[in-house]
Amino acid sequence: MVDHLKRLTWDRLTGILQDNGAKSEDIDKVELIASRRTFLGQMTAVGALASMGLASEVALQGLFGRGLIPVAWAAEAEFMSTKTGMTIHNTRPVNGEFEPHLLDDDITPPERHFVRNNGLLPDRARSKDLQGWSLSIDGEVHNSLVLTMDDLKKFPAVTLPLLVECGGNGRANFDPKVRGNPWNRGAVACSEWTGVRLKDVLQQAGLKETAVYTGHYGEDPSLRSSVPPFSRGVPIDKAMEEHTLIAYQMGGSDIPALNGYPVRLVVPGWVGSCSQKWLNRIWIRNKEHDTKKMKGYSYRVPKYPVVPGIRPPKSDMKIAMAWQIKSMITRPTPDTHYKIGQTIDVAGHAWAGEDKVSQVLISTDYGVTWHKANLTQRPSQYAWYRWQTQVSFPKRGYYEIWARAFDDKGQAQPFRQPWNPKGYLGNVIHRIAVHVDA
Amino acid sequence: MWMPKFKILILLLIWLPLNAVAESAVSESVPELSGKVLFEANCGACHSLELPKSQRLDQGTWQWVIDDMVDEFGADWITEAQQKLILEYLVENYGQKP
Repeated sequence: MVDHLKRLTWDRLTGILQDNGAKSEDIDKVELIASRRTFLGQMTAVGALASMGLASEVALQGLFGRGLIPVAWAAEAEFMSTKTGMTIHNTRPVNGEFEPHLLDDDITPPERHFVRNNGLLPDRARSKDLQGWSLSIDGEVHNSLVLTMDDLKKFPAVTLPLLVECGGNGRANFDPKVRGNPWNRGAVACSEWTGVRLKDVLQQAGLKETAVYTGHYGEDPSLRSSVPPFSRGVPIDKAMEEHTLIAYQMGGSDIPALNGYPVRLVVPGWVGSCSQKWLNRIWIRNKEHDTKKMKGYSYRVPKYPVVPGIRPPKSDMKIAMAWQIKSMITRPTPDTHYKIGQTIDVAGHAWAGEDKVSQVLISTDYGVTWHKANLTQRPSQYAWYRWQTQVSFPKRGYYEIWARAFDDKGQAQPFRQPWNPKGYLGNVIHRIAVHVDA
Repeated sequence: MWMPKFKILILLLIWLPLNAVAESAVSESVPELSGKVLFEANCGACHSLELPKSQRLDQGTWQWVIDDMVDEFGADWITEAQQKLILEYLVENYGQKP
């Protein structure tokens, strides 16, 4: 298929498309993405078309105006360059994370915030055009609201470091392997968010007695227009928690396009899919939100421990909500070489969803002995804690540094990853390798 | 010389997913498409292929993925025979290595 395309010239291709009924405006779209790709130096025009799967259903969907807009794909490629050093799992939709040693900052800078998108980048995120944007609050409220950005900014502004972590972070550590983006440990960030409390907005709308759950919607197009938009929600208590924000800035600037410009939810400590990006509607429900992404096996874990590799029936699954105790080693960089006796600074973060971190223990001998790291208090609830310590090795060899965090309920990270069918809430202890040379 | 053949292929790949009539009209004149081509053309229509290629899943899990794509994510134009070829290709190339 690709060989055939390579022998095509541009003129021949557009001729064939016209012969087959493509409109000229659709062909213009193809030309636009092709030239953007060429500009990026990635591939030739015809190569770009082949990579888009032109000779497939996309030709109908995009070129014949039935759904996908190829231009949007080009936009995502442009914005990926704002995330230097990101490990890319997928480009359409964009999914990428940073290695733990790139996430050492107490406050994650916007360019190091992971990207976990389910659909395409909205046009508005690319153009940064607020014209026509609004946030609707409707459903089980006394006064439905339609808020512009100016309206939103009339509520008291708060700025907080808050942790957002993809529900699948750690999936790569599941055995047997599970489906989905193979996140290692970097689909987590503690950025500084500015916005308004969701509570304040919901109080202005006036919650009815019947309000029990939220349903969140964003303006990112689905990969296929026939598929309903990605939508999840949270129980009303979590929505009313004072750290749950409608955010319009990250790190003091507009939220990056890939992370939800102009407005997103930040539901800290819970699986990241609760924190809807490109937010434009919150539907207050009188029952548990019941979209596809709330049901079945989506963002759900078994109600009881299951045999690894065995998928229990849907009725035995429950919604994944808060994260549990977890830590990450951000210093040193794995596989660094040291001298005998050299002091090695070891540091990282620890966090615990709705709970507090009580201690972090470090081992350099595969868990035979442990010592306590210094734990620094977090600046506010739902920020991660900093821990640090020093180690040195008296003999040459290969060593591993292990970190294990404990919460205030006495729960610690497991040594082996408990298994669930879609690899959610992975929190197995983090191990890194170091080498001591003679 | 190659143009008519190419045109048929383009036509096939364009119409095959959505139009059963077109499929039957042209499928007699071209060889059956391989699991690899079906995977790339059909799966690549909606999402990039880095993700499926990064997976190492057993047959049951790949079947689960394909069922979800067809039933839940709108890839409902892929025939059962094509799904079977795609499944075989995925298990062979992106299966669980012992």
